[in-house]
Amino acid sequence: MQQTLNLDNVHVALSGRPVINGVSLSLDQGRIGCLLGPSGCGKTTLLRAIAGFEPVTSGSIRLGSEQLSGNGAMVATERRAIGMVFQDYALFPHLKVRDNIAFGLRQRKGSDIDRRVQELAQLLAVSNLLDEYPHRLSGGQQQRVAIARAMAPRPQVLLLDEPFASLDIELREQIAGEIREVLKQANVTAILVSHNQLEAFAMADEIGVMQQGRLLQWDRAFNLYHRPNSPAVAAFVGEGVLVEGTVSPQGGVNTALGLIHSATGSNLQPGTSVSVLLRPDDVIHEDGAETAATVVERAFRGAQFLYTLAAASGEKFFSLVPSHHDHLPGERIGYRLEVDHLVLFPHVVEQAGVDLVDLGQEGNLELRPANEDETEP
Amino acid sequence: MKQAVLSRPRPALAGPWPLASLGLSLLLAVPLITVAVSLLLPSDDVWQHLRETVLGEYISNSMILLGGVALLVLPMGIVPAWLVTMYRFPGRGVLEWALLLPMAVPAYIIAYTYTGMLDVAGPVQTWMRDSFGWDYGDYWFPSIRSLGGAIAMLSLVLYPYVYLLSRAAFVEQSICVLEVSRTLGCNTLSAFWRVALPLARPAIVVGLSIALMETLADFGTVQYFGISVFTTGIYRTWYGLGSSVAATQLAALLMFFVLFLVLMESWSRRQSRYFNTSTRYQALPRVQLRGWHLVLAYLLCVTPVLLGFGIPVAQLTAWSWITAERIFTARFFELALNTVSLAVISALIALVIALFISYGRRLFPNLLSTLSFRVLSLGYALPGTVIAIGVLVPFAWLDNRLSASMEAWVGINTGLLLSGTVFILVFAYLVRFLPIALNTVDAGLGKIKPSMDEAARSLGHSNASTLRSVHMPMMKGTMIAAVLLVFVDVVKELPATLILRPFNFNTLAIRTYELANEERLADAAGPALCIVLVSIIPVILLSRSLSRARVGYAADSQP
Repeated sequence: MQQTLNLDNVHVALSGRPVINGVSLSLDQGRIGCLLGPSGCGKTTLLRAIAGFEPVTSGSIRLGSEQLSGNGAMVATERRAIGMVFQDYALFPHLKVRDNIAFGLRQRKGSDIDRRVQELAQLLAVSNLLDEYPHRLSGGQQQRVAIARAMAPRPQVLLLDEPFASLDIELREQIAGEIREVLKQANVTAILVSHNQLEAFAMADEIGVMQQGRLLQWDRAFNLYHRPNSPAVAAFVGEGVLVEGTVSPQGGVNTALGLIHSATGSNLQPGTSVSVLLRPDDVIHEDGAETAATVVERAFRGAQFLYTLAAASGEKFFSLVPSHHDHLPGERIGYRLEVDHLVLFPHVVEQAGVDLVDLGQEGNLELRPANEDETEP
Repeated sequence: MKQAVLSRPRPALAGPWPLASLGLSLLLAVPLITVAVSLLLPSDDVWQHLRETVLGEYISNSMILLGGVALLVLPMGIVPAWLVTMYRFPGRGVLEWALLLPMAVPAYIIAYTYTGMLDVAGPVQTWMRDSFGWDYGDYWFPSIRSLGGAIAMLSLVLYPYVYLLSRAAFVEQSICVLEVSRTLGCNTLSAFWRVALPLARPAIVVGLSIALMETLADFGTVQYFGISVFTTGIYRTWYGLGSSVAATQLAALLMFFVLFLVLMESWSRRQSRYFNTSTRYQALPRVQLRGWHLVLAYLLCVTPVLLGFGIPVAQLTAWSWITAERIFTARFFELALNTVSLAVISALIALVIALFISYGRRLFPNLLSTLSFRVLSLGYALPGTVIAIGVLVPFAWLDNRLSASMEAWVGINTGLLLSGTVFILVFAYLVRFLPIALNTVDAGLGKIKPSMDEAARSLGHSNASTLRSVHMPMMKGTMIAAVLLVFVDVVKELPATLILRPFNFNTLAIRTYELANEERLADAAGPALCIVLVSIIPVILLSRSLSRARVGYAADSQP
C-alpha cells in the first residue's frame, strides 16, 4: 500500500512562540527526504511535530488517508506508525542491544520477536553485538542499533534527527551512503534532519532547505544547486557570487565579466536589471582564454583549487580549477564563462536569510548563509 | 490499518494525571492548612493563659537554643570540612565519612545516653567520687539537664549537616581561585578566611538552616531535660490543658519560625549557584600535615566523631549487653516488627506517590504540577508535633461526622475509624517524609534524558508503560535509596508517633522514650541501639555519594 506523507501548511509554536510557519511537503513511500538548514531554523521542531511530540497550531500532517495532526487533534506518538532515531541515539542503558531492538515489538510472540531482531541485526550488521550493553558500543555501532530499534516495529515513516552529528566527520558521508542502502532495501520512507549539505546529498532523494521556520525549496539536490528558487537557497547550498547585469536582447545577461550565455533562455524583458548567480564551476580556467582576471586568493582542496578572481573592473568571483594549475596570488589567468543553468534573481539588495558580503570596491556580492545564533530548542 | 485514535494535543493543563497529582498534594497539605487556618480562629482562655505565663519563655528558650546550636555547629562542621578537603594526613579518608556518623544518632537518644553517663549516679560522677573520696555535694558538676546541655546534645548530632554542605562547597571551589589568592599574598589561613569561607557561605547557610530546623523540631531532648520550648509546649497544651485550639495556634507560631528558616535555606541555595567560580577544575593538591599541626587536626576531626557517635554508641552497647536478657524478649521483637512494618508500609507508599507526582511533573511541566511539588516539599521542614496536631484535628472532626452519620443511618457507632488506627500514623509519616522520597526520585528522573521518553513513545509505549519499562529499571538504585531514607526516618520518628499512635501500639522509638522517662536508661539502650544501627544506613548511602561526587567522576548508569 502506498502511504504518502503529506504536510499541509503546518504551523508549530513552542511555548507560544511560532517556530514553524506554514510548511507544506509530500514524500512518497520509500523516498528519503532531508530537512536542511542552519541550527535554529526549526527543522528539528518540524520533525518532532511529525513524530507527534509537538502539536501543530494549524495545518495538518497526514500519512496516506490517516490524519496524524491537525484541527486541534493529534494521534498520540505511540499510536503513529512512525519510528525515530534520536540525535543522541537514546539507547536504553539498562537493556542489552537485543532488548533495545525488541523494545517496540511488544504485542508479538517470542519467536517472532527473535526472528525480527535477528533480521534487523543482520541488515544493520550488529549481529555480533546483540548481547552487549549500549555503553560498550562505539558511536557508529550505537547508531546502527538505534536505527534497528526504530525500524523493528516496521514503521511507515522513519525520522532521523541529525543522525551523523555524533560521528567522526571523515565517516559521515560513507555511513550516510550505507544507511541509505539499508533504508532503500527495506523500502522505508525516511526524513532526516541535517545542517550539512554533503550528508544531505549523500543520503536524500529530496531535500528541503529551511530557514526561519519556512521551507524555501523542496527539490532534488541537483536542482537546489543549479536551480535555486531564492538567493537564500543559493547561499545555503554550495558557493557562489552574484554579479549585477541587465538582460540583453539576444537572450543572455550583460555583466562586467562579459555576456553570460545560457542554454536555457530567460523570459525576462530585455533591459531588466538582474543579479546572476555565478557558481565556482561556471567559471572555467583556460590559459589561452580571451578574458583574464587576477588571482586574489586561493584555497587548496585536494583535487581542485578554489580561486577567488578579480576582473579588471573589480568584480570578484570564484573558479574551481583542477589542482595542477598552480597559480600564485597576483598572477593574471585566463577564464571563460560556461553557465549551463542561468540563475537570475531580481536585483538583490538585502534579503532575509542571506548575508551579502561585499567583495570589492565595485561592490559585487558573495552569497553566504545568514548566521542564526538561535539554538535549536 | 490501525484505527487512528484522536487525543487532545499537549500541553494538557488538566489531564487525569496532573489532576490526580494535585488532589494528592492537597490531601497531604491538609495538616499544613489546618495549622495555618487555626490562626484565624478566635482564641480561647487557654491561649490567654499561655500568653500571660509561658509563651515568653517558649520564645526566649527557643531563641537561646537556636543561637547556641548555631554557635556550636558552625565551627564543628566547617573546621573538619576544611581540614579533610585541603590537607593530607593518615586516616583522612576514613574521617571524611566518619564525621557523618553522628547523623545516625537521634538527638533524644544521645540525650538519654549522656544523662545516664553524667548524672549523679552515672559512671563519670561515681568514678570521680570514688577516686577523690568526695561525697555528693562536695564538688561542682555541670547539670546536663539544662538549656546548655540540650544545646550540646543537639549540636553533637546536627553538626554533620554543616559539615556535609561546607565540605561539598570546598571541594567544588576551583583550586585556581585559592591559588590566585596565594599569589596575591594570602597564606593558607587567610586564603581560608578571605576566599574559601566567603565562597562557601551560601552552602554553609543551607547546612545551618537544616540544623536549626531540626533544632526547632526536636521534642525528645527538650522534653527529657524539662525545657519549655514550642514543641513541649504544644504537647503540654494538648494533653495537659486539653485545648486543641491553643495547641494548634502554638503550632502555627512555631510553623512561622520554621518558614523563616525555609526561606533562608532556599534563598541561600539560589545564591550558591552564583558562587560557582569556574568550570575548570583540577585535583586538589592536598598539603601534608606534620608535627603539632597534625595533632591539632586529629583533635579537631576526631573529637566530634567520638562525642557524637563513638562514646554514646559504646555506652549503649555496654548497657544493652548488661540488660540483654531483660530486654530482648518476645515483646521486643513484637516492637521491632511493629516498627519495621510501619516503616516499610510508609516507605513503599511514599515511593509510589513520589514516582507518580515526579513523573507527572516530567510529563506535564506546567504550573499546576510545579505547585503540587512545592507544597509537598514543605512537609519535611515541619516539626513532628506540628504535623501531628495538623493531622489529628481534621481526622478527629471527620471521625465524629462519620460516626454521627453512621449512627443516624445504620445505627452503628463506628468510633474513631481513622484517627484511632495506624492509618493516621502512616498519613502523618507521608506528610513529613514524602519530600525525601520526592526529592530523591526527582533527582533520579532528572538524570534520564528526555529523548529516552520520546524513544519509548515512538516505539509504541504509553506513558505508564514507559515509566515501568524504561524509567523504573534505570533508576532502581534511586528508588531503593528513597525507600531506605523514608524507612529510617520513620524508625527514628518520635513526637508524631507519640501523639498519633493507636492505644497500646508501641514502636522502638516509643519504647525508648517510655523507658527513659521511667529513668530506666540502661533498659532503654537496647531499642535505642537498634534505632542507631538502622540509622547508619543513610549515612552509608551519603558517604558513598560523597566519594562519587568527586570532580571528574562520571556516574555509570549501568545497573
